[in-house]
Amino acid sequence: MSGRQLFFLVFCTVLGSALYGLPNGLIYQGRQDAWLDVSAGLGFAVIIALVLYILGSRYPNRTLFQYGETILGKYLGKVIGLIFAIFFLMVAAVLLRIEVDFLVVALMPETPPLVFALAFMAVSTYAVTSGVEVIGRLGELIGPLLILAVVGILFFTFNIIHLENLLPFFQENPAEVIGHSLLPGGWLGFVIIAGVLMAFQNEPRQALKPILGGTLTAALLIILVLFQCITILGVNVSIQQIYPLFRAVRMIEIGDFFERLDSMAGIVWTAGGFLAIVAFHECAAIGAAQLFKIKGNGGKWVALVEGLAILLLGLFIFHGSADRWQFLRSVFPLLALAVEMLIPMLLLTISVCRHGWGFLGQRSGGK
Amino acid sequence: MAAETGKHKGRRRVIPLLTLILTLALSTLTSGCWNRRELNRIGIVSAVGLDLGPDHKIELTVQIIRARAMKMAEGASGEGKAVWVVSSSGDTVFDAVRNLVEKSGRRLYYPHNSLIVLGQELAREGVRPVMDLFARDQEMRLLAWVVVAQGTAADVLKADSELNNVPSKQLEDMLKNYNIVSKSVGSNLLEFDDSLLSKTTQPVLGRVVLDKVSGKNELRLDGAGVFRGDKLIGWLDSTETRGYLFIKDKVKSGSVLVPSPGNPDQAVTLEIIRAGSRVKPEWLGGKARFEIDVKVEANLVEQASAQKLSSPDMISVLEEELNQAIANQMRTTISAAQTHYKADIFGFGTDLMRAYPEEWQGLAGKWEAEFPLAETQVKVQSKITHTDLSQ
Amino acid sequence: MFNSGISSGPVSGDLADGLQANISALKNRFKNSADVIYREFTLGFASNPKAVLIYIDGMINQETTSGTILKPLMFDFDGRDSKRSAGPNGAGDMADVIANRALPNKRVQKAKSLKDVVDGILCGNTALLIDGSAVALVIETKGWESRNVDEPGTESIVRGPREGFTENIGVNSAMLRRKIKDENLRIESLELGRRTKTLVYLAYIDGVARREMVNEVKRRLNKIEIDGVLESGYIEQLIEDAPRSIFPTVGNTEKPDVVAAKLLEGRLAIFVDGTPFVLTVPHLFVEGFQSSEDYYSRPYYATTVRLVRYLAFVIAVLLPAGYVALQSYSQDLLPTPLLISMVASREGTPFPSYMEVLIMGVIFEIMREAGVRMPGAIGQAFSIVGALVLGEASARAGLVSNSMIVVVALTAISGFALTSLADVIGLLRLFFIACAAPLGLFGILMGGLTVLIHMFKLYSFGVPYLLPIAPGNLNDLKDVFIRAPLGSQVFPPRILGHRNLARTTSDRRPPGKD
Repeated sequence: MSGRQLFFLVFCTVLGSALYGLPNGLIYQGRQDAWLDVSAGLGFAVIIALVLYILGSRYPNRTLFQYGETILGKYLGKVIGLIFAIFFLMVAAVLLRIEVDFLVVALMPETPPLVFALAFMAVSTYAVTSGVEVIGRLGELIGPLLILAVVGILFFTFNIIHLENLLPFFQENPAEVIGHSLLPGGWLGFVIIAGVLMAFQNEPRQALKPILGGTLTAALLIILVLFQCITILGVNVSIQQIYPLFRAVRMIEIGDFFERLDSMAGIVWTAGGFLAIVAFHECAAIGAAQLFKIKGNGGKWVALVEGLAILLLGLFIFHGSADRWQFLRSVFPLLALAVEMLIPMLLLTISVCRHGWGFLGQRSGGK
Repeated sequence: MAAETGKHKGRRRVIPLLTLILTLALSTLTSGCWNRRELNRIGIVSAVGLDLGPDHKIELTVQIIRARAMKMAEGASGEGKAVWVVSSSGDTVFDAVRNLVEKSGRRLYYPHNSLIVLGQELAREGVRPVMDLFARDQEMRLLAWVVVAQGTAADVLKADSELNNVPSKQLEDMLKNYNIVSKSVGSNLLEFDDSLLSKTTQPVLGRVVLDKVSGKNELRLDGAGVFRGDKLIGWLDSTETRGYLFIKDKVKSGSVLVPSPGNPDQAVTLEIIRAGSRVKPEWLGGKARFEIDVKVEANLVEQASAQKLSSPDMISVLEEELNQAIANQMRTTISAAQTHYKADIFGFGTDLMRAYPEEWQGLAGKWEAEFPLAETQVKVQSKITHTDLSQ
Repeated sequence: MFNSGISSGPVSGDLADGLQANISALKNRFKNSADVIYREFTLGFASNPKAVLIYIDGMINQETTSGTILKPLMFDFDGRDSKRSAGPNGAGDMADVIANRALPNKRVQKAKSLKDVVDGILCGNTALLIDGSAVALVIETKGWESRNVDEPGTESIVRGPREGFTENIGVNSAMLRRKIKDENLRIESLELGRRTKTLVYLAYIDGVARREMVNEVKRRLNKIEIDGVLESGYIEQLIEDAPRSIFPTVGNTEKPDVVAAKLLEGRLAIFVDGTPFVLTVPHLFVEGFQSSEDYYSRPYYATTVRLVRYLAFVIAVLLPAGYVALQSYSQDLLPTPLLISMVASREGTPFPSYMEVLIMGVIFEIMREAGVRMPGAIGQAFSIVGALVLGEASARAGLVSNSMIVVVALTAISGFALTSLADVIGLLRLFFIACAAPLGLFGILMGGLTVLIHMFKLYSFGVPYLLPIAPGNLNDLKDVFIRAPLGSQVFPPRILGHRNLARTTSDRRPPGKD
């Protein structure tokens, strides 16, 4: 996997699912200062990325699931690995549900959700069984498309934006900013997949740039999306609408005849969201395979079983959309940050205590 | 050896492929009940009207496009009307929408709807209950125009158009170009929704008037309806609306009549070709003050007197008169809003909130009482560029 | 065992001394073969032994046989020196002397076994057997009626060489050699097909094509085990990476200049005797969009044309599916006036849109197939019936909507723009219609992702099938969506060939400026 592929995978994983999963919640929390919360959340993500990178260069060609065993010993390490694997599985299921709910609400209200979920997981399983390389190439293709879809909105909406909607700035106090940054922090923390994918990179030493770059680009685009929602719809309507960006795109009129481009944009975003699901599905599958030492063709069965698990979990994890928003706003940020940030930091601390700083990268030649 | 496994793989790959094809084929056949809407089974709604019926029921009127008749109409006229106007009633809008299917048979398709007309009765009762569905339903577009009818919405939708096969299209065109005449307001669903959600800004909607001209109903867009909260409380006439539009920086063009210098009985017509305005809020010791700066560029397009007006002196006199005329229009509107309606239709509260967020904290709750007391200062700077004749 | 014509068992055993024994042995091999000619005669020198010429009628050049074999042996050659060089084994020497001194043919081989003689005869050579000699001479006399070098029927161009390959492999390899006069051009030969014994050449440029790739191709060719190779398609299907994929991973062309260009890029070519279609490997997806003419015309025009080709591909593959999705699911994407006219044309048609597309698609395919196979004389009538009756009348009769006919026609025309991808386009089109019918745009997206994943998994001889697009390489993209000016394409595409070979170093600055 090349650096560019890693960049786009991280980027798509963070942004792809955020396009309709986040703006409403963020603007609800922070109103005009939502961008501030995202910037603060980026802080968490940068810490995560740095920790992952240091871990990655200390233990080259190993994944997140194997650090634990190397650092903490067999049993405790397995537990840590299992936590990661289950977390990935859960995030994939949550993302699947967000994705499916969006399609059902916004595009095709009468189609049963199971059909969408089945289609997603069937194609996702196909992608995962095809290997990391294929997923990397998929990211390389979908990533630029996603950027185009988000930035393109700018060009077509410049005549309907109201910049004054962005005011007033800086109404939150620091405590509020930190409190509100947990949600975007947890979301940007999806960079955690790099901890798995880095092991498949051609040059792990140069992984930092793509990982940080991908997160940063995604965060910038999330902020851009927030600005688009607020400048086009205003804060009040953005809070009222579940999918404000979708509704904002619906406002686009190109030369009197191209209108209602929302289904088109929705489909492109769906491609990004799909890639996020695939990335987590892949990571969970790699995790299970490594933890239970499954090799060869067994990996395909792991992917299939996990695909089914994500499908069922995704369909039954939430009672309804109200339930989902509740979860995303309260439980998810803490849970996500605990797994994404605290555990890797813990691993790094113990690793440093055991081997000292000088260990950095010395083993790489010995492999 | 490698080829051996390759062959093996190939054979195994056939099974998922077959499953895929089978699934696709099956789903194609069985999906009739899902989201598929064949074009010949839908009715395209081009306009929606809402009225208050007896027993506080909602009366929903829709214009449905008859595509066949419309195509025919191009060749031979007299094929029947291109639209079908049909009404139904229900306890809520959604109920009425569903009841409509009983009459139309076809499923009605709303994404191409571009106009929502609210009847006066309903508007006076309050529109929030009926607007909810339009904000919530993803099929509806926030770009659809919203107007309030002086009579009932049903009458507006039933009126004919001589220019357009689809009558609502004519109204839509009028609304699109409202700021060329600048005597009425065109607000779309988004703007209306936004001001309904706002705690300080009060909504203003364009008014549709139905004139009886030689037995035919003619639609005219004129003036605007003022809301407080979600209830219609009164009207702005066309002059007041012009003042409103100037303050909201929504004037694109329009004509202003000023008395001819030295000949007050005869009028000079000035056409505004560019206009821009800025509202500068100030918070001075517990009192809100708003400075409205308007810059106007106009052309002299018509004059009744034979006087030569194209000299620099005369032009500056005319400019001064134009300043006065526009400022007066705005003052009339402001005083109507402040004293008569007591409704912040200009969004002054929002302006103040953006400029003085800290002070606003204490003010937010009592803005309704504060707004009528706010001081305003109107400044107009106009420039007459062309006179087109050297007279 | 029923034995018709040529014996089926392996031909073995050495030749005997006696002429009659050999003849009867051969006659036994070629049982019931009327086209095998045995021309018995007497040599005009030495002890005037009896001899026989054996050949297959129609496969040899009659003048060569009579003028350069029969005439010298019967009249001109006096056998003066035959004694002098005679060694202990007189019989063998007789063949040597004749081969060296009497026969002016371009290739004369000695054959000791019956198998060699039989093979030689089957290839169109003439075998000379002399009484008392256990060595036969196989004389090259191949010569049969074949097509002249002609303009190829499949790849028409406006600018560029008009010549195309013929059915004759020798002519074909010579055409390539004429293009690349480099001693590093290797043309290796092998014979494939147990019964057809088809001659196959593998051509590449040593030092440009990568060693591993050459070895891999050879390995795959050598593994082929088949009774007959009648066309290069047989070989294509036996060596391709993904035989079950709808995408071709082996390319073919009829034009020598195309083959030469591919060899210069580091690819390999496989010539097969008896067909003008030459295979090139590895074959990438983007090659379907490149035409030799792109490189002969100036870059701006070539770029435009190439982009048009990609557009045509997208239309040909996605338009019917997109139409179904728009008609049945995402009507909101259509401009209102267009939607109204579509509704008007759909009023009263009985089938859902995907059925309409499928019906019209099938009708079109039938028309196309009929058009290709049909004798030219009834073409006029056919096109009238096809276009007018089926298209116009079916819309009039309300079977299908007018807009549908526009869509099907546009799709068909776009498909013609990319003949080399025709089979892929047809299948993908069907697949996407099947995706769009139940799920609309979402179905198309999911179908597209599936196809993409499949393409990402494909390799052609170790090279990723979608190469310059994914995994991406900006430098190679210069020859994908655009056709950059020649000076900026200095390297053969990555992985295909050795990267450090500059292809042009000519100074491309405008003359007169420094």
